[in-house]
Amino acid sequence: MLGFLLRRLIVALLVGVTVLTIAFALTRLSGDLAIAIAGAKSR
Amino acid sequence: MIRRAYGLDQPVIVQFGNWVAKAAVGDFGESYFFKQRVSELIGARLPITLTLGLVGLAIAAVVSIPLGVLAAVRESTAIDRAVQVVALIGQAMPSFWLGLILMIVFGIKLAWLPVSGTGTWQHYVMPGIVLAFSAIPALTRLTRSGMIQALASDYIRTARAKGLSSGSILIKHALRNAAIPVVAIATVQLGFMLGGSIVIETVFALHGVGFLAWESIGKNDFPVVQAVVLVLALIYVGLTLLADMINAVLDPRLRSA
Repeated sequence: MLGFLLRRLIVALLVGVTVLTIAFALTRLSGDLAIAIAGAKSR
Repeated sequence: MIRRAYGLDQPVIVQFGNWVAKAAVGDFGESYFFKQRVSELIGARLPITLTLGLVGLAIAAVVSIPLGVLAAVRESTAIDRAVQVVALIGQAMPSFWLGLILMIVFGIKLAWLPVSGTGTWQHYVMPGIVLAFSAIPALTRLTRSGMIQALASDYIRTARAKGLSSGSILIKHALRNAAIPVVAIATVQLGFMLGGSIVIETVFALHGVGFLAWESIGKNDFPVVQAVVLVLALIYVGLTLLADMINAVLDPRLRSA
C-alpha cells in the first residue's frame, strides 16, 4: 500500500509542477502584462 | 515603472523561478485590482466553493446511487427507462438555465429559499442542486451498469443460493463492487464541480473562488487568475489521489496496478 501511495504521490507532484508551468506560461503568452495592468490607453 | 514594480523587466526564466518559489509557500503575490494578498483572497473564498462542491456531490450521490440501483434491479422495465430519461434530461439541461428557473420558482414565486448570498445553509440548497444535476447522469449510469454487471456475477448467485436477503445481497455484495468506478468518477466530478462553480457562483452571486476568477478575468488580474487555476488544479489532483486510495481500499488488486 505504501509503494502504491508513493507512486501516486509522485504522479500528483508531476501534475502539480506541469500545471504550475502552464499557468505561468499562458498568462505570459497572452500579451504584455504591463499593458494589461495599466490599461490599453497607457501605450 | 509598472514593469519594475511587478518584476516584469526581468528575464522570463527569472520571473518563473521567483513565481514558483513563492507559489510553493502559498505566496501568489498581490492582486492588481483588489490590492490584497492573493492567498488571503482565495483563503477567504475557498470555504464557500468547497462547501458548494460538497453539497453538490452529496445531493448527486443521494439521488444517483439509489436511482442507479433501482434501474439495475428493474432492468429493461418502465422504471429503468424512466431513470435513463431523467439522466438524459439532467445531462442535456444547461446549468445556468436550471439555476435561473429554480430562482424564479423557489426563490421568487414560492419564496422558500434565498436567491443569492451565503449567510445560511439554505443559500447552498439551490446552487447545490444545480451543481449536482451535472453529476447525476454520469453517476446514475455508472451505478446502473456496475450493478447490472455485479448482479449477473457468480458470487451473487451463490449468495442467493445461501439464502441471504435481497437487501444484504444488493448493499453488502453487489453495491460494494459496483461502487469502485462510481467512487473514482464521483471524486473527479467534484473536481469538475469546483471548476464549473464559476457559472453557478455567478448566477447565484455566491462570493466563492469561481466568482473571484470571473471578476479577475474581467479585470485582467493575472496573479489571481493564475492562483485560482493552480489551486483548483491542485484540488483536482488531490481528489484523484483520494479516489485512487479509496479504490485501493475497496479492491486490493488495484494496489499492484
